[in-house]
Amino acid sequence: VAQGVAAVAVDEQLLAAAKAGDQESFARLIEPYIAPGYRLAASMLGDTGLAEDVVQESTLRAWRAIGHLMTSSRVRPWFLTIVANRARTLRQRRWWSVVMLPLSASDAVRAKQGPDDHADLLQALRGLHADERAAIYLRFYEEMNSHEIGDALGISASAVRSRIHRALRRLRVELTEEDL
Amino acid sequence: LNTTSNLRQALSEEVERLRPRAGLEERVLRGLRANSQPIQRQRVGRPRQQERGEWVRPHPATALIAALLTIVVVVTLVYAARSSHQVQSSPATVPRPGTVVVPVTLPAWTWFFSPKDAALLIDVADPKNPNGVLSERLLITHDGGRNWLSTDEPAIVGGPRVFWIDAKHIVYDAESGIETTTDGGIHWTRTQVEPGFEGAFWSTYFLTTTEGWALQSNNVIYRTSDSGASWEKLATIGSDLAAPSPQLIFTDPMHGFIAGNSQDGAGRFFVTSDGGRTWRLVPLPAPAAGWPAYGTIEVPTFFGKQGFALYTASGGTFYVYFTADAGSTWSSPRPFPYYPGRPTFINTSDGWAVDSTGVEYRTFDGGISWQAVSYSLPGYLLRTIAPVGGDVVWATASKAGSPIDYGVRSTDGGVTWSFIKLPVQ
Repeated sequence: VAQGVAAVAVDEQLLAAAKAGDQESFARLIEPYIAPGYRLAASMLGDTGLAEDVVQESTLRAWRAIGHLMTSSRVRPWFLTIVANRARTLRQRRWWSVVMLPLSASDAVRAKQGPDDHADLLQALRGLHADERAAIYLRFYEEMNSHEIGDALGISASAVRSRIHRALRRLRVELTEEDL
Repeated sequence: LNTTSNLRQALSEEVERLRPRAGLEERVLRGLRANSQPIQRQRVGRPRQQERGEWVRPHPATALIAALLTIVVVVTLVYAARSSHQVQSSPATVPRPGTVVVPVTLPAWTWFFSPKDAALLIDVADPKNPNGVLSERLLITHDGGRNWLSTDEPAIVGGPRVFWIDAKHIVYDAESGIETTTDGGIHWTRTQVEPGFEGAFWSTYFLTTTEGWALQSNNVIYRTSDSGASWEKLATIGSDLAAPSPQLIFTDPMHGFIAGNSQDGAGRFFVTSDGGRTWRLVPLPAPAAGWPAYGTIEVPTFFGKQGFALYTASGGTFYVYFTADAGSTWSSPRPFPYYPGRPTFINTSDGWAVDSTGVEYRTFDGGISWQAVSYSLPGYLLRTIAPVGGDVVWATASKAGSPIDYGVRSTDGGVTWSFIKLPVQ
């Protein structure tokens, strides 16, 4: 507990220094979230180069908007919000090149019927809508709860649960209340 | 059935498949240090007017031109002092000698265009650094790119949306708040529709310079009658509207539409006839093949009582719904048989589109038939297109594989294009 309190105090000091213009403090504050941000963008875009572009740009935008961040405890959802929004924007701008990477017709039929082995699960995962994939990734890889995910994706916690529930059904993953 | 353990394993494999090159954090932070100027940190209080915005005019930076411009400035200031209080109060709107710069052709990360021949762009890119930003200022033109307003960027986080009311009034959806300007972009005022709400805005629509509506990501609708200074909570609509973000539009103070999608992909409209206090669901006919797993219904576009709305089905098929009674009833969706890309119409018949390979199309019959427009832009592909009217059209173009776009403009129906030059110092 004492270590946690000390870490929060350090982060608050870093945030105050970053707001005052110290870029190195901002770098220390944001660095732990660069990899999760990259993974979120990669999960939404399915492209490593674009994901790195998104996280690079999001870091710049976060630095420029650091004055709006009220507390260091919100760095992660705040930064992931920026990443998710940038990924969405890029996805819309690259509508044909990204969204139009569909499953083949036979894959689509198979995914609709439901995956029945590991390869099909992977395929079905890639066939999810990007926003669903983001929610699934944040819940089951980053182990965030529905409130944290809602913060990051700009939707309510109940909408997160609904989105995850629907995605799990499409993936034919047995779900429990805890999974939501 | 799979288990969540199987799913976690699959996610781990996906993360491994999409693993970045070693040194991600180092590269990102190096890019931060190299490209970021701390111009906008901690906006405490309002910046001084002189810091907020300045008009700059692209022109060759020769001594002669600078001298002539200085004379123009002096004459303009004298005229302004004599003629109009409005101009008197906005000295930043006249060019200052120090702001004369050589215009250069540069790309930017984000472009917005308005049907009034205006454009707003964010983050002028550094052509020497694919991830870099050369200018962090926001640039706005209201005259087809001849003159530019360079101003501090409102607080942008994520993907902003820009709503053009007229040449003076612009609304800009920012991080959980709305930035509005009443002077063409020189000064911006930030308002928060619901204090404390940290979600996203889905849509903003202004019918006049004072009367507008906002839809938040918690499905709550607000109305303002004072240009966004204060907001009244009106209603909460159905909770199963899903991303992509629902959008709203009002055709008069009483009648409005919200276009959204249910969780299972069906397109739907919510309609109000009492200014937004109550909403009813208007079912849309499904495509002949049924609703796809995913789709996006767009907010309708009206030209008088006639209107249409586009529905994008997963897989890239586009359908169009028509109405002839101001949206009370909608036709069965008609697939675009030769659909070339996301179309933009300037009236019920004249529309433009660009496909994924950069081919430009135009229709004169409401999308029934499309003709390819032959254009020359060597080394570049058109990405998006935004008609102004007649044969004037804006577009973005980029080199193949590049994520950053150049602004281009045509005045001959998209046959010849000119790169937009930006006044970047």
